Amino acid sequence: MSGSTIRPPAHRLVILLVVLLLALVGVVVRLSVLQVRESSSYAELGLAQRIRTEALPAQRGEILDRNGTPMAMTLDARDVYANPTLVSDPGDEAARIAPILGLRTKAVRAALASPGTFVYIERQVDPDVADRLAALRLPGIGFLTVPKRYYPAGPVAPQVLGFVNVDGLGITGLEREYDGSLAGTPGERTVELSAQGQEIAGAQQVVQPPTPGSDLQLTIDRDIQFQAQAYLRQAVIQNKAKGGTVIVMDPSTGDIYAMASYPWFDPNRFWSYDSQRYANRAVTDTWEPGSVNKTITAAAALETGRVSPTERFRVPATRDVSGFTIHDAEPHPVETMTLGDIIAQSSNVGASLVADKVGDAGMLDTFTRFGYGSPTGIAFPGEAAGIMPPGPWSDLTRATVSFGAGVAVTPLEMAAVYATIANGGTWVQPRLVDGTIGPDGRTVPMPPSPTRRVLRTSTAAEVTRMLAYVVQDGTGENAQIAGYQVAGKTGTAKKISAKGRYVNRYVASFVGFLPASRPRVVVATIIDEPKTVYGGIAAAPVFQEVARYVIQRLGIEPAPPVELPPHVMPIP
Amino acid sequence: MIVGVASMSALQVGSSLRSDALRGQLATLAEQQGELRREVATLSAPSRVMTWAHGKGMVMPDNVVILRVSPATAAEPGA
Repeated sequence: MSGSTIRPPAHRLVILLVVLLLALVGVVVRLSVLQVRESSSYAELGLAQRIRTEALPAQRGEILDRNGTPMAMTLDARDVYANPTLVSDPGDEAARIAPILGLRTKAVRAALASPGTFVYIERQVDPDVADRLAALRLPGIGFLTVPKRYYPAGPVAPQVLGFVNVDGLGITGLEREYDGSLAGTPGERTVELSAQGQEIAGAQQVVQPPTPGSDLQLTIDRDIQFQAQAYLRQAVIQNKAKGGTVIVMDPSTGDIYAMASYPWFDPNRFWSYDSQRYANRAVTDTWEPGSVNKTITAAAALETGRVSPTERFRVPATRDVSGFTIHDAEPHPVETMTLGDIIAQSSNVGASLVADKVGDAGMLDTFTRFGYGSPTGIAFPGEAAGIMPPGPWSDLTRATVSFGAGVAVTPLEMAAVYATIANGGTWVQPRLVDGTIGPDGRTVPMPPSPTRRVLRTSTAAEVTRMLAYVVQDGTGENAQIAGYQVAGKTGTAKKISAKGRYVNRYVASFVGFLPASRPRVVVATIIDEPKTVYGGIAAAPVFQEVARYVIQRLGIEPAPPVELPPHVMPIP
Repeated sequence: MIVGVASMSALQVGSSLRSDALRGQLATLAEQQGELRREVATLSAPSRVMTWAHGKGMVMPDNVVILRVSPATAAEPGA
C-alpha cells in the first residue's frame, strides 16, 4: 500500500465545482441585477445623496411713483439660523449673538438649546449685521441670503402700498392686489456635494434662473402724497380729531396723486402698529357724506330740468317731513333762495325742497349714474360699495338723501363725483396704477380708465358756478386760494353709533377742485370727529393747504373765473 | 492619454473655481449696488429733505404766483 495516495472521491470534487459555479453564477446574476435592472434606481439613490436643489428667489418688482421714484424696493438680507446639535455652549453663544441682533439673550438661548437640527434665530437681518455675527465664527450658526422689502420713504402712502410678509407674499394694499406681477417666478439651482456636504468645484450644475417680477408704476406723486399727509396730520392734531382722509385726483384721467388716511403706520415695521391702521379708509370705509351730497341734488335738479337756476324757493329754518323735523345748521327767518343760494348756504331744508321738485326717479337716477351703491372699480383690495337706499323712497328718505343723510359713500366715490363735475359731466374711473415695467425694461401702460357720461356739459358748468359761489361767499370761504378760483362744497355729518342711532360726533369734509373754469385737480378732505365740527372750519383749510402745494408741484396756472350763479342772497 | 485627461480635468476645475469666484464677486457687487440704491432712496425721502430744509430755516411759501415769460420778452435778453 506504500506510495499509494488516497484520492478524494470524484463526486466530492464535482460537488465543490458545482457549488463554486453556482456561487459564481449567483454573483453574476446579482451583479447583472444591480448593474442592469436596478442600475437606474441605485444611480438615483446615489445622486440624491450628493445632489442638492435650492430655490432661487425671484427679485420682487419695485413700486415706483409716477416720476419713477422708488416707494418699495427689494434688498438682500440674511436669515440667521442655528443647528442646535452643533452648538456646544448655548449660554455663551446666546450672550454673544443677542446684542448684535437686538434680541433677548434668554430667547436666543432657548432657540439654541431646542431639539432638532434647524431653528431660525432671526429673519431678514441687514447684511452688515449678519457679517458682524459671521465674524464671530460661532459653531452651529449659519446664514441664508433672502430678499427683504424696504419702503425708503417710510410712512408715505403705507395704506396704498401695503406690505409683504416675511416670506415675500403681498398681504395688503397694492402689494397684495398686484402680487402676481410683482412676485416674478422663482428659479432653482442644482449642485453636487462632497461627502462633507460642500459643493464640489467643477461638478455639474443645473441652474434655472428666476424671472424677476415687474415694477409697478403708480399714479401717486410721492411729494404730493407726503405733503398731503403732513397737512392732514396737522389738521387732525389741531382739531383734536380721531383721524382723517385726503385724496388728490386728476379729474380728466382719474389719476390719484395722493391718497392718505391718518393715523397711518410705517410699512418697514408694520408689525409694531395696530392693524386698524392698515386699512386704506379712502377706499374701504364709508361715511354719511352730509352736505357735500347737495351737489348731486343740485345736479339732479338741473339735469332733469325740474328746477332752473333762477327759480326762487321760500326756505324756512325748519321743516316737518313725515313727523320728523329737518333743521338748517343755524336758525334764520324764512329766506328767499335760488338753487345757488341753497348750495352756497348749505341749507338742508332748501335741499329737501329741491328734492321734492326733482322726485324719486330723478334723484335715484342721478345718484345711481354717479356710481352710488357700486364700487368705483379702482383695483384695490376690499373696496366698499357704499349704501344707496333702494326705491321707492319715502318722503323722509328723499329729504334726508338730498342733504347726505341715509346714504353712505367712500371718500373715493365722493372725490369721483366732484371729478365728474370738474370734468364736464363725464365720470372717469379713478386709478392708482399707471403701468408695469417688465424685467426687460419694457413699459406696459395700463389702458385708459373707463368713462361714462353722467351729466350734460351745461349742467356740470352750472353746478361748477354754484360750487364757486360756495367758496367765494358761502360756507367754504376757508378754501379760498389767492389768484385761483376754487369750486367746492363743505359737509358736516353726524356719525351713527353701532346701534344705528345718530350721536353727537361729526365728520367734517370739504371736496373741491381748481381752477374752477379749467379744473386740473380735485382734492377731497375728510376729518373724523373734529372738535370744531364744521367742514368749513375743520376740513376746508386742509383743502386750501394741500391745493396750494399741488399748484406749485404741478405748475397749475390760474384760469379766468366762472360767473357766479343767479342768487338773491346778499353778497357781503 | 491619462496625463491628457488629468490635465483637462485640472483645467476644468481651475475654470470652475474662477467662475465661482466671479459669481461671488457679482453677488457682492449686486449687494453693494442694492445698498447704494437703498441709501439714495432713503436720503431723498421727503421727510428727511424737509427736516434738513427746516433746519436751514426754509419754510413753505404761503401764496404762489406763477409768472409766464412771454416769447417776446424772452427774445430780448438785454432788456
